[in-house]
Amino acid sequence: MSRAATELTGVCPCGTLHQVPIAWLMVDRDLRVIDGNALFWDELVFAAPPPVGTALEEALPEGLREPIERAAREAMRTGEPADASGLRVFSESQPYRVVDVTVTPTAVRGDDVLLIASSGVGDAGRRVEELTLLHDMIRVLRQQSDIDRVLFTTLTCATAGSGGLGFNRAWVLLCDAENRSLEGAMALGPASQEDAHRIWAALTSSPRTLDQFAAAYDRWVAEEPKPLHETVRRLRFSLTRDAGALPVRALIENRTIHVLETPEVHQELAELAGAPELVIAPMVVGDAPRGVIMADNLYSRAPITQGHVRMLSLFAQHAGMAVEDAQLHRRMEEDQRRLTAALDELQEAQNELLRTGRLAALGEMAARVAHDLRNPLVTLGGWARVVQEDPDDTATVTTAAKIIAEEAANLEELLSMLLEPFSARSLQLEPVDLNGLVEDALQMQENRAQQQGVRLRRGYAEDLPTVRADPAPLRRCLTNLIDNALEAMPRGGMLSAATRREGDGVLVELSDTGIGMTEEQLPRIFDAFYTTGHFGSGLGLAIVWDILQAHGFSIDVRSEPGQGSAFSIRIPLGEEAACPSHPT
Amino acid sequence: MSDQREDRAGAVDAPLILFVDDDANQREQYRIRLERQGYRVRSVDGADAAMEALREERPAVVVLDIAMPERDGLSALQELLDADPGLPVVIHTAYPSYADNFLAWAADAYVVKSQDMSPLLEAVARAVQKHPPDGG
Repeated sequence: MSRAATELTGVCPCGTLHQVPIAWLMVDRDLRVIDGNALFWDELVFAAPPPVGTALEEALPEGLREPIERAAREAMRTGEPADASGLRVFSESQPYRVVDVTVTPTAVRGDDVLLIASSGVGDAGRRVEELTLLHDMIRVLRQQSDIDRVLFTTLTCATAGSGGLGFNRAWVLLCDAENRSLEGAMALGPASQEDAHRIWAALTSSPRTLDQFAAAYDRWVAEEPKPLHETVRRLRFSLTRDAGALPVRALIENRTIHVLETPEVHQELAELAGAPELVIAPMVVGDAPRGVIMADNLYSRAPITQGHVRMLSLFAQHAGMAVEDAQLHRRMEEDQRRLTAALDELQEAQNELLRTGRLAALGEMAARVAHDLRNPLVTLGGWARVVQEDPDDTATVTTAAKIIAEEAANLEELLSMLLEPFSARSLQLEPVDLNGLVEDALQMQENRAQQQGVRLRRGYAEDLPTVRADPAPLRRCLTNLIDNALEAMPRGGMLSAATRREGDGVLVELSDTGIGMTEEQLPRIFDAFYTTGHFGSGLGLAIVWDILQAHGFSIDVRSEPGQGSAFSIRIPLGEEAACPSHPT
Repeated sequence: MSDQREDRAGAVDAPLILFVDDDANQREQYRIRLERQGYRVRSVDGADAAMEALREERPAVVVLDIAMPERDGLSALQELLDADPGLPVVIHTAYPSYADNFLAWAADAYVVKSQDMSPLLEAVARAVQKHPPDGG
């Protein structure tokens, strides 16, 4: 995770190291240059930095090459720092200088590297130690991605005696951008002098590494009470109104403040006061203030050296980046959660919309049904009255009975259509000879066609494969379509029925030369109870749609007012349908 | 009984109703019932046939359904009235909403279809009274 976080901000973990007043170079295990600061190239090599990946022997001048390579190989072999002392550095413009170089094995993003560092003769050892310490702290810090773990690791680095900066106590205040404030986030350190002694005694008997300290986060969370932490959590400074407060100043001015016996500290941080000195280091990334780290030596009352201040200052910049990464990470997680929640809501809304949409459709259908019920009711009731008025007129009574039965059947169909969409019923699929089925349907309406002066034209494809379908409802489909076509041609015309293979399916086409439909009518013709306003119950095509849907067949319609309509049903062929159908 | 019906149906002086409806079952039903009320009934299935019938014999009243395939009943109404401005027309429909259409106002009455025929009979009687058949 720390790797991903690093990539997110585009900050090299060595970034801050460029600023330290120590000349340093970093190489990988193949002794190829990874990074180095300006000081190294300016003061030791007197040349522009070579490209990343350049071999160490090419990057270094003669006098340095051999002793540094030797120290590097030794450091690699032993895993311990190796020195190359008293090296002479020559340049054309300056008299030669003598430098000490220490090669320290360390790790960057999990990769073993060697840090080659040098300072002027004298304080070389101390500086290199600082640098190594800093680098190790950054390594541990960068392994964390959760904001609380980042803070805990930061404070561990500040307070650990071995491998850390060794402050007695440390705490972090973080910026709240929304509230424009700086608020206590976390604190680490003994609650009292006794506590401090107990902890130090324990650590002396079994020292721990920085990694071990950092891994203790869960134990720390469970630990109760945490008086210092609780106190710090109550700290809150306004970035605008409390501009004079020390933590706010350190942040706004982006500088580390080393407080020595300042009365104002007691005022602002009364609960935390007591230590002779205090360091406040800002965590600023780019221009963005993230917070401050504060540290003191309340119990040991040890003086805070310039080295400590400098180290905390450098480390705070890294902690700031880690905090930023962690906050970014948390924000991303929150964004993701919000997006997921929004998606859920959207789906809920969509379902709701579908529900209300269905209700609206139902309402429209009810209105349509109410109208469509009137006609059959008038017919039924009317014929009943015809019988009632003159029960002895046997011829009329017979006619009436027949019509009443017919209308009752129509009503029943309407009801079953309403209550039981076709797709809900189970289909009895079998191989069906399509040509035969179309011909059946056509013959059923032949008389009516003749009466209306409609000519029939047939165009059946030979050797048409059988299709898998339920023959009865499919015949019903065809009958309804033919019915429709005939209704569209009250004054005669031409009805064409054709079948043909197309691609991996079979097409049935029924076209008429009737009144046709407008563009507005077309999209609605398959809705239940939609009629072109003139005839029919509005169920015929809805039934067709229902049946074809249940089969998984599709239907296409082309129509033009005054020209006629053409319906084509597309039936995909199953595997077993490859054989030609039996002749009818 | 059937003699009696034929008598009534065949009475030459009985007012003629031109009944226009696309539903054959309803046409037949109304023919029978209106004839039993003493009217002569000529029933046709649409506007074109109605125009033809109008030319053959002027009816005392036209009962016109408006929800028919071939032509909208309202435009048929227009055509009938263009051909014979004084023609009494009763709109007879399953759809009450047509009453809002100003074209329908040209009709003498607007009757919503019902198995109870009395509203239709009243409207027909009123129309016949208002426009007594010409002496011809």
